[in-house]
Amino acid sequence: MKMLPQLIVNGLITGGTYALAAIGYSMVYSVLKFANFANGAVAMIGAYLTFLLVTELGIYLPLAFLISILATALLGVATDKIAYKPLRQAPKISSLITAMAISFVLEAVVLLVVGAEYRPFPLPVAEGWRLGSVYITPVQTGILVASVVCVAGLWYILHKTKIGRGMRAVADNPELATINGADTDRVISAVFAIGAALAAVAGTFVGMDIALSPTMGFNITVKGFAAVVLGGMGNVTGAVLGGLILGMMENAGVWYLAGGDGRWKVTIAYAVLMFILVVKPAGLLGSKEESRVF
Amino acid sequence: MLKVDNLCKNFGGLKAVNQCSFEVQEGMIYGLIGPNGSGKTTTFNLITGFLEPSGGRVLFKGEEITGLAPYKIAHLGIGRTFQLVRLFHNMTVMENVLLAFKDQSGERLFNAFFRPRQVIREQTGNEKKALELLEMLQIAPIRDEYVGNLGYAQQKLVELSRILMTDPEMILLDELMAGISPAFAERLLDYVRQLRDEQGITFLVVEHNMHVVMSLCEWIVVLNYGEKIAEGTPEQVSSNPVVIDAYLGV
Amino acid sequence: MPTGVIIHVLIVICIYSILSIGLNIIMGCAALFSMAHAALFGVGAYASALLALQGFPFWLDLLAGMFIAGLISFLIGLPTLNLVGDYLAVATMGLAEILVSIFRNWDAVTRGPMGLPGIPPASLFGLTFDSPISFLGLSAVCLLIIYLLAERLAYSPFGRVLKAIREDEGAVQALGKSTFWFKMWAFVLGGATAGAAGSLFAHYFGFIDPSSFTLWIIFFLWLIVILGGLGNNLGSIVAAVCFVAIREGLRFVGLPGNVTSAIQQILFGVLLIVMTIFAPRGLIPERKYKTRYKSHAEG
Repeated sequence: MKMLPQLIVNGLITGGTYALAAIGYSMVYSVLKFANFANGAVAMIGAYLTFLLVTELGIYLPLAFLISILATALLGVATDKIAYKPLRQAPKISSLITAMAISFVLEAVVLLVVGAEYRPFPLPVAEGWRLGSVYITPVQTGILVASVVCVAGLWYILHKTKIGRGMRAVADNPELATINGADTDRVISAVFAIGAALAAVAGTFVGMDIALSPTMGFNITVKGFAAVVLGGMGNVTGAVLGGLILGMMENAGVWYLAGGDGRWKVTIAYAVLMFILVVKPAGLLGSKEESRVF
Repeated sequence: MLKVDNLCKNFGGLKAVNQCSFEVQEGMIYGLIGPNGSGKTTTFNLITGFLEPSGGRVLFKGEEITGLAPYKIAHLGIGRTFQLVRLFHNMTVMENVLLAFKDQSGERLFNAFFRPRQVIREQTGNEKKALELLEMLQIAPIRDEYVGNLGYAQQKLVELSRILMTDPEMILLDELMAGISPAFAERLLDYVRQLRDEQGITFLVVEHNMHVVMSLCEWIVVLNYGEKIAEGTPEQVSSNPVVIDAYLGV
Repeated sequence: MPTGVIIHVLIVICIYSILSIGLNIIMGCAALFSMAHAALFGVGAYASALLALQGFPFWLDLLAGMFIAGLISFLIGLPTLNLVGDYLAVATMGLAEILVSIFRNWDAVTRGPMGLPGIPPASLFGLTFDSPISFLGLSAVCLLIIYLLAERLAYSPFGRVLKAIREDEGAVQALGKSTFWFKMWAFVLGGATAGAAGSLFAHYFGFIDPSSFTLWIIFFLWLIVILGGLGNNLGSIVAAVCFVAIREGLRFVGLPGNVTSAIQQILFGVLLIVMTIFAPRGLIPERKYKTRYKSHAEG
């Protein structure tokens, strides 16, 4: 039990990145009622953009991060226009397929341009802090702070701005939304932009916390989705909660059940997911109607 | 026949249907009317199991069917149409109608694989019955057309014939007359009356067109903001001041 | 091209055709989104290989591979098939990941990334299919049987309900049919078909490792099923012929392996998006239903 506080802190940090990724899925789901599997790959692109801007062009990290967030937001909007918008009236399975296709294409582009190797993020080495039995690095602190800032910012956008109110209106009543076509299009673009921007943040953090690789996108997709289902589809608060819980369960689970063997992390994430699907399919904060068939 | 008892449905804080009660007598044509957003379609969805009630009960022939799965309620003999036609557009008219037959042996996996002859024999029998109905509704010549290629009026007829083939004792029609010409609406009304007279099918109709409601229905239930505000014969309802208020929005 | 290569490509085509027909039942007919198909292919392969290595006969491996893949499908379908499709998508994605991580990490049984070598060739009724040409015969016969069964299914009343579910599940329920079990059977049958393909795969190569069952395979299979036309089994076979030929052909172009696979991935990805948007019914549409019964009024 001596390890528990450390595991919880590590879990919160990992969970913070999952939560950021999960918000992107959740927002798109609440508006379009489809699971955007490409968000993980978009996050991966965001991570590589930050990485390349810093290593290849020598741009100052915070600035590089900002450029990457903006560029990724644009990429998010572009994926919608190219691959999902033409399919709004088509069966949902079509958008799921194009989403997967997008993520395979993005992954292959990175494979061609950067290569398949793991790339560690070049960060200045800095001493961490020790609080009792818990050790935390500056990067981890940054992740924690930035996650909180992002979620607070999102809350502000959703509740205090016009476009945010539009998003909630479309999410609540898609039929009404189809009547005002132009507005709906703007709202959907905004949703994709915000989701992708948060994904870029999540991707970059994962890259800093672990390393970059073309397959990291898929990993983010998996974790983001587990978090969303855990919290309840289409529910932003649920996504954040799901991300944090998943992060902690994974860390604690790997430590106590698999003897610290990190290879089983994904398996644990999924075991949690399956358990939720069986016990409470609508997730912790979701409504039953969202999850039923018709 | 059908009894709705204190039915409630909340969406978040909104009370879409609130303590609604009414009873439908066998062999009658009932109307369910009310201004936009008064909870008519929600009530339909609650009766047919497409939504789960927040409170109250639904009884069909004395048996409680509250919250059963839609397919179970349909199987008990309540057929329904949808506000916008929900047909299988990439399938032919005949396929749409054949789908409606209950308890087909070919829908069991074992028979589909290992008893092809029996399946085909049964299917041909179903085709014969379906064709009789299509002939009655005058759409037999288009039986092998894809439904997606048909006009709206023909699609309505296909939807009606499909629901009839499920052999229902009661049919819920959601805005059957919306979006079709008056002349064609007359034809549909005749079919509905004919089905009631000849086969004794009970109808519950949601309809916007007051003219249609008044000429077709024998008893009318009026909803406003999810609550029943009146019921009675067309004459009673149309002279009821509460109903007139609701429609004029005073 | 030497005959050996052609026979090899034909065998791979047979295996992929079987896989595609299985996916076509799931995705083409019932419009269920499964990402676990490649992993179930792996389940069939590993189950067969492990049994064959213990000395069990081929027919038993094959059936066991199908049964286990079907059983896993059943278990994953149980909590997800009455929810909206995204849940099935997420759950099958998770299942795929768990299965592959078991292949990769459960060293004691699967030998992890080193794979399982020395799987004996298939033998049936005293015949041993140890030469490529004889194995081609075996896979072709398997393909034919599975094709005929899938066709019978697709054009039966059962298949008709599946296609109706694809169009509008709520409307099928309104007709008094429990859509859950129709979807479940489609899902289980498709999974078992993948298991059969896996069994053949293991016996053909004599060696399997986790890299043959990654998500990339499912992507390739979607392309085949969509291009061949949703719900059209023959189309799936035709598309499998084209794509396997292209894929195997690209190996001989002479680019470095990782560049070829990346280019392939981009090419197929773009093609998949274009097909889904502009030709969702595929190049070869489904056969149209014809009323058999002739009414007397029309003679």
